[in-house]
Amino acid sequence: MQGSNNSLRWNETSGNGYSTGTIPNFGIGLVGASSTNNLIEANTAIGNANGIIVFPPATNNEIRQNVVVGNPSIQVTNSIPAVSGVDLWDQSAASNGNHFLGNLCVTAINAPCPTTSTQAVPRKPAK
Amino acid sequence: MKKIRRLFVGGLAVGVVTLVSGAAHAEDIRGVIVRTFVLSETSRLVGDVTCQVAGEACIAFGAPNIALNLNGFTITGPNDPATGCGGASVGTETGIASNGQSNVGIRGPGLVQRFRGDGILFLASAPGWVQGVTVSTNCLSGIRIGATSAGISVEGNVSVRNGTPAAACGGI
Repeated sequence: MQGSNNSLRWNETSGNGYSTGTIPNFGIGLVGASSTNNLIEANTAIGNANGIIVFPPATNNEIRQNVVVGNPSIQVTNSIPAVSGVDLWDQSAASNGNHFLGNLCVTAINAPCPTTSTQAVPRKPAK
Repeated sequence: MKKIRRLFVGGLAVGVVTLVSGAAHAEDIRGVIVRTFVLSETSRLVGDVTCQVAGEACIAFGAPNIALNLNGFTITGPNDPATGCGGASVGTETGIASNGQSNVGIRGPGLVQRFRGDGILFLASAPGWVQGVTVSTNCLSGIRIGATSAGISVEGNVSVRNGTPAAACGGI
């Protein structure tokens, strides 16, 4: 995702991406310098090549209360040598102002990763 | 009274898109699309759609402040149902493109699958929305918001088995 002031809520992403490429694939990704002031809230990312990636140029995005687990699947991890997929991956500098809060994950790079669930798996509220 | 138009697009040997026009929805869409179908008013699917458009979007918005209701139906591109594109993408072959129009939206339920580009692409649009749509087996992202879009609301969608190893892409 690029652009600014966008919101992602209650989406479910699963089985997306290749673990073998030179460019990381993801369930949800904040790509490019134009990715700024976006809200990523209450989504699930399960069984993707990576769960949620914040790429280096992204700034001032809020990533909160998402369930991001099982990225990639155990078969991918065991069958592809040196695969490096994770649940949460913040590739940006701390000065970029991207903020992680209350996400549930098991593996992460440069992002907080509480393994205790703080909420139910998010779903869009019924009308 | 409803008016039914049949458009034979791209020659006799290829497909037909059936448009059913009425008061509630300007265009009711089903059938085969062989060149980009441009929406000028709020429209809906009334049957499954198969896309055979090469190198361009299958459906593109052509006016601001309108919506496409998938109405429970499926829009299918040319990829293999099991393997998708196998990793080789054609970036311009999008399922549904916002096409620079502002305040346009796509409402599910419905499925957008097997395109060699993105399933749904918001490009140069602000604002916009997509709700309740399933996107699957597209070569780039299931739903992509481009660099020049802003204020896009993406809610309650399911995005599975999209991506290519050659680009930073995936679910959303």
